[in-house]
Amino acid sequence: MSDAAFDEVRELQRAFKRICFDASPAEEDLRLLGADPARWRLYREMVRLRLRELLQSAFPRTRALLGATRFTTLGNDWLTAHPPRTRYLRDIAGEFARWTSGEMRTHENVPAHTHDLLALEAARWECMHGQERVPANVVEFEFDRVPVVDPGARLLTLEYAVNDESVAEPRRGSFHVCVHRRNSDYGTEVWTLNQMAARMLAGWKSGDETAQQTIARILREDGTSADEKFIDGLGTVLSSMIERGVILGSR
Amino acid sequence: MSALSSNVKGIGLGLRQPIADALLERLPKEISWVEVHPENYVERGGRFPHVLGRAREHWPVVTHGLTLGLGSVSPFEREYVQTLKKFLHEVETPWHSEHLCVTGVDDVMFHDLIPIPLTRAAARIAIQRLRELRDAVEKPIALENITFYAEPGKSGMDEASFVLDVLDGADALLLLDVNNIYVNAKNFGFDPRAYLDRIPKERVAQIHIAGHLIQPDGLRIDTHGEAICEDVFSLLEYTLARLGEVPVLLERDGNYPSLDVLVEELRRLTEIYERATSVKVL
Repeated sequence: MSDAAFDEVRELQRAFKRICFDASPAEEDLRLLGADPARWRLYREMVRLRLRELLQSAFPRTRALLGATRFTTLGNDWLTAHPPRTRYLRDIAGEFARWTSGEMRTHENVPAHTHDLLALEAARWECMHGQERVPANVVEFEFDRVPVVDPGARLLTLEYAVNDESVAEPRRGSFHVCVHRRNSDYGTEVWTLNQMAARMLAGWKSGDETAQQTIARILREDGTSADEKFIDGLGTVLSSMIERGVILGSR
Repeated sequence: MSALSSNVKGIGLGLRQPIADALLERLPKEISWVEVHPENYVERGGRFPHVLGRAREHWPVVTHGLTLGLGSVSPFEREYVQTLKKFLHEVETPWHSEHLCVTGVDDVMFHDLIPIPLTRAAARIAIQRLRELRDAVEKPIALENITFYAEPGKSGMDEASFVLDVLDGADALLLLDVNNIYVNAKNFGFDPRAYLDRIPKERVAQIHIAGHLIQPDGLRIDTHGEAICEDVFSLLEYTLARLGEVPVLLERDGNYPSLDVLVEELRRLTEIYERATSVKVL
């Protein structure tokens, strides 16, 4: 095939891409594609509608917070600036969230907790669809071994308590949550952690410390010691982590 | 061709998550096999692979891709093709299908099926791409004819000639979408039976059947979200009478009716299949 023939086909495909994702379709591109321009606009709408519907499914609370019009505008801005790169429809939500969280910092009059809400919903979505990557050689949990945290679990530190869906105006502070997928029904759960539990999980998720070493380090950093109350609380939280499948065992 | 002698026979249904639990609970006898989109299962955890595992206990699986449009000018993403190959062999699909269209260009994905010009140049791109994919995944590849609502660029040939050109050039199989031919015939004013008469029997690995939507302006849109219309049922019977025992897949991708309604549609497809081919499948 001649280069010219190939180039001609490629230019048509690139024109179609611009028609779908540019802020508005250019007359020049519509002319290049030929046929009835209304049909190419129809394609544009079909492509964008599918993506918008996906975002609505993934970010219902963010959409409700911002309002449908503003959320749609954000979606449109995202499509223009960063059209989908992933072939997996499920990963569109993550692409949108990553672009939008940066973009929204330049927006005025965005509710202060929007960033946290977007991050939480993105984490839930990605957690629900993420691949299991269970490490090999996991044994039953032991204190003197390195805990194995479910690689799909996500730890978030939030400035606003958007994990509490019961209030319209979430409290400001420092809040820790673990988003994980339930094994029973594959739904996701947002588990609120205290600071100690969050620090332990963060250490085990990223480090090579044994459970014992992590706990000792945190106590040392805090200048405290393990009293009876601490040990009771530790037992409860570890049992809960194991029951929920957030900790898979030890290695 | 080995694909045509597989255990995939009779009527199948697209395995979709909103109806999967009900299907797996009831296991309707009207379903002989299921079709899945690999993109929905590879590199994914949770419910989707769980459902696929359960489905495989009961039905043979055929794979149908959504994102390797055979008409794209952009090279394949090699890592994904290797992932796909692994998946196709794991689920033991007898063949894999992709659409004769564009699904992305450069590094952007459309998540929709975009038409390609019906020209010799576009056909040669598709031929080369199809051969490359077949070699890479080591499975027979079937191309699917799509619906389109506008034809990009200057037309070089009619759709049937274009499809046949690619099939012959790539020595490929065809996933014949009867509803798509009907929709295009209505939208562009040609005789769907004349198109079907030109399809070589030995090329057809599988048939797709689905419902479509008629817009207020009369344009027909391939939604897979409606019941199959009478004309398409008739066209399927005509097709099966000519082609013989080719497995038929009902695509339902949205606006899901109750399982009873879906099973009734599958039953009707079974009746047509048995009448047209003289082969009992139930």
